[in-house]
Amino acid sequence: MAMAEKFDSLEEHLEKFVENIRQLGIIVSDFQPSSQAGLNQKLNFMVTGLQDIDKCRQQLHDISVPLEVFEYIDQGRNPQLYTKECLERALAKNEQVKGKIDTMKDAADGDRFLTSMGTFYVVQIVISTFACRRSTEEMLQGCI
Amino acid sequence: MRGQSGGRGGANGPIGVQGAGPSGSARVGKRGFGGPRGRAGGSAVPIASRGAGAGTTELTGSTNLITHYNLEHAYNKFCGKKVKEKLSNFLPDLPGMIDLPGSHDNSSLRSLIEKPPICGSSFTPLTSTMLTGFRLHAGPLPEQCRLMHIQPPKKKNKHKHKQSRTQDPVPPETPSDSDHKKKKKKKEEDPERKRKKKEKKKKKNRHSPEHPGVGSSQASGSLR
Repeated sequence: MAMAEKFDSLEEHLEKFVENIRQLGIIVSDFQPSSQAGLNQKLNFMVTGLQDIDKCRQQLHDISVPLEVFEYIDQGRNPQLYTKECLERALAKNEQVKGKIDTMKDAADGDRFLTSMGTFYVVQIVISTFACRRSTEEMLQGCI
Repeated sequence: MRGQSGGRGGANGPIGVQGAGPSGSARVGKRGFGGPRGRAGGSAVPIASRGAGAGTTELTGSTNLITHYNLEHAYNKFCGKKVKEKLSNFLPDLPGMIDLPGSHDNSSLRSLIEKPPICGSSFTPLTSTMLTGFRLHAGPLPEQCRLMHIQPPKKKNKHKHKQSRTQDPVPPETPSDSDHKKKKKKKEEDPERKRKKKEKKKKKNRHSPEHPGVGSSQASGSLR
């Protein structure tokens, strides 16, 4: 909650600053000599606004913003798209790693299976060789 | 590594796995999936269960990390529905042409980071002598500078919606709209129909003056 409050205060200051700048722009766009006092007031509001925003910097020193977000903003794109792509990338990578781990598990299980199958085949071969030997002996005895 | 030679023996198939192992063997051992090696030690504990036991302590990719970090809400928010492309959709109340690339007017944030402005660390209010530098001439700004106060995105969006509504003829219309159009069409068509009907009537009257009027009578007349 504390973090949210910090962001809220920054957002509020930024909104006020932007609104002040907008009003300043309106005054300047069609300037009248009578509005000089208002302009001076707005200019000083601008300075105090910057001071307020600068104060917020102390509260948010532990927040780091990825540089890629700035690229999105510079290109006139919605920065939420960056978040979206990050989440999608994270999920894809997560699934990929999970697949690798599952494959490793399966390989480990398969190893055990192959070992048991190997012993089974060895036993089978031994039995069959014994059987063959006995049958050949019987055949030979019959011939004799 | 200790039980590899003795445990498996030469008949074991997964020699290929061994070969592939070295790089991953340390990881596998750490993460608890290194079953074959452990088997040589003669423990009766199944490999998978041992692996799972080790995996519970360490966070791996086998768990859904989005749910682990409670990011489900964020995922559903951003990936569940379509996020609008433009910056003005994210900051709708910001005045000016913010959808244009910042490189056009040197207003990019990257340039601000790369070349920070040379200024002091503190902000001091402007004195009256300083404010004399902001005395302006009376009159409107030239049009080039007025662009700052135009907000095209909102207007464009509204126009687009309106245009799409008007341009798309059939599908999204409300019944009232369609009724209006039908009425308009009827109104437009009505005078033409009336003219045609009048012409037909005149023709019929010329051909068969005794039976004025309807098409069926005309057809019957032609049969006669």
